[in-house]
Amino acid sequence: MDILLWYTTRGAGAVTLVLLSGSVVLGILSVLRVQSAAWPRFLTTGLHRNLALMTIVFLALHVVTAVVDPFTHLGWLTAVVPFSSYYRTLWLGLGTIAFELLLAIVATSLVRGLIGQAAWRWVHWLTYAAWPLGVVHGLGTGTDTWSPWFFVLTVICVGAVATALVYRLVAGSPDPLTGPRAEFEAAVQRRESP
Amino acid sequence: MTADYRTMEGITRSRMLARDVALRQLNRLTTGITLAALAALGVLSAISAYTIPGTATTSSTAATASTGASSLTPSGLQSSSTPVTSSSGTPVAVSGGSR
Amino acid sequence: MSDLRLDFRLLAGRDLATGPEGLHEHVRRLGPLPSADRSLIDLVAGSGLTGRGGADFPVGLKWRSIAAAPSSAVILVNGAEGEPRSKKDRLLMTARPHLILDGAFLTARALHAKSIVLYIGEDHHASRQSMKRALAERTDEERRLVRTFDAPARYVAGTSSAAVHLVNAGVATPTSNPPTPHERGVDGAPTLVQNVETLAHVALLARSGRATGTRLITVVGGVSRPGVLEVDAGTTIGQAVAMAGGQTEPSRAVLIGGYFGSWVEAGKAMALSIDPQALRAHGLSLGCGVIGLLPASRCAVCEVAGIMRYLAGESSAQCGPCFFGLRALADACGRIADLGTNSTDLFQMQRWAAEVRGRGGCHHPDGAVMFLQSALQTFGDEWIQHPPHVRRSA
Repeated sequence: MDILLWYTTRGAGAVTLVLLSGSVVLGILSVLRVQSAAWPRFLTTGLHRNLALMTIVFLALHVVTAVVDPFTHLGWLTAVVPFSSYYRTLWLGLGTIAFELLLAIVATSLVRGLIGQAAWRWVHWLTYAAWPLGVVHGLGTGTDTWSPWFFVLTVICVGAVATALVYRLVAGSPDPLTGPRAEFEAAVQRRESP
Repeated sequence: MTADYRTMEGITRSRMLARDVALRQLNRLTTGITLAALAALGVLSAISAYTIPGTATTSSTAATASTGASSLTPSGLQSSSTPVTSSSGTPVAVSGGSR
Repeated sequence: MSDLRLDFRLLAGRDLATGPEGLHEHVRRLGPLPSADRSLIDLVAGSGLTGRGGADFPVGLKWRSIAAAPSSAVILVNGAEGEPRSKKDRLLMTARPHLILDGAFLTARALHAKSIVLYIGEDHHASRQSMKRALAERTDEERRLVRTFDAPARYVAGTSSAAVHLVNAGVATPTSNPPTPHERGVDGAPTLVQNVETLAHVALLARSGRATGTRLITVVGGVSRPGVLEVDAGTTIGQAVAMAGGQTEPSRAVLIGGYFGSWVEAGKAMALSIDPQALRAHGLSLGCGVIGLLPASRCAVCEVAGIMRYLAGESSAQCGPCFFGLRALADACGRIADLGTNSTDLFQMQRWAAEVRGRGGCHHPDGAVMFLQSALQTFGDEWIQHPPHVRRSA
């Protein structure tokens, strides 16, 4: 029975990685405002949101099964205090950090109306920390790092996010007003006359 | 709003329909992904069981520590970015009378 | 000083074509600068003087709120004149600079202001030179109060918040966030923004004890002598047109209030009184006093399309509804003007106009939309039947 917990931890971890990566990619696509006649922008953001929530669910499953599993000797504390486990301290600790970052990101998103846009944005940027931490955690902690299936999965996820990131950087500002606004500001610069 | 919607009914209705279609699409995709995730959970858990079956004593062996974060960071980041400009500079056509 | 001897009109005095009135002549004609204290505020409030920058806001009310502010105020003299066809502010600055400066210094004294900002259109070289020379004739004490800034030659750069923003942050973009300029403006101080004509009225009011009752308007379009007129209260548009030499040909309609104004059928317009309050009763606005006559031989749709294209291009690109909304509207107008009427553009213009209104960060899109909506209403038939590139035959 306990062995099932262990398998589930790994499976859930892998699914979390996929969902998280998908979420990040959709987040980037949201900012880039990609859309078509059949795919309005709110589909991208809606899917991003739903995937993020699903990520949390599977992440919670991953954490719970890991802690509850008697053979891992992980207490509940290790789920919240980074680097407090004896088992692969560093890599698991990074996972803990990633977990907490994601909790913060999702929680602030749910109460964005209360905390305001600026605070929400600040926290949301932490996604770019949470995701790589999750990837590194997966490779460092995992039983399955060099298992072909997990390695390939990781490569695909990293590839997808990397591609989206490159696209984001190359495509320039997605805000179509950036150029015109800069043009206008250049035209109305101050010149002081004596 | 002072718009006369009686004459624009067609345009508005089609937009509303399109939005409904997209919303249903969103729900379908979400459901699909959820099911896929659950299925993947099962499959990947099974695969992980097959790959490295557990024993009673150890929870894991094997994997040597990762070779370091640097090999995993996204590569190929380009620093130049072409600005997306949409020209707003329409000629100033100041119209006026016969002067 | 008896009222009978002094002509308390803005444009009284030397011929306007002969250059600016110097300080010496100004004082000889009107008397020295009166002393000013807080009682001037009551005088201004009691006179019923309203602003000449386009909003027609009671000057006394503005002054009272500035006087009530806890910290020292700044007076911003707005001579930007961003409305392209308006010429009254430039005329005042080039012909009667000391009226404006008098008004500014009187205001500063009455409100205990710590400084004055002169905001003059960067392309208005003659105005800038005239004001500069006039300043040189004033006392050191007065001059020390004044800083001059060039107003960029863009439509929205003449708005109060843009003026303040230019002084504070170096760019004349309108701002929509609170606080307003009169709460926290130039250098964080409560800022009173007044049009140059308004201040000229203050200069006369302080000497005569009451408002002149006149105002400056710019008549443009199908008249023989387009230009600036000083009209008494109660003057009708028809009378003003006569003062401007009469129509060169029959007019189709009159644009009252410049590019943020409204179109009115010529016949109805001529009877209207050039009085902001009276016009408001008709749902119209005098704005900064530009009155444009559209000759019957010109195509209304094409004129409107040209103005919309201008207004769309003057968006500061700070918010989507204005930048994209006005552009879509202008493009639709342009298509109807160039290619002839089509029902899609016609319907979409109405829909977009209604959607854009109220959604912008500042007043610019609202002004443009109301201009367009009045054009759609006044020139209804022309919009529905506009053929490509055809002018209405005379």
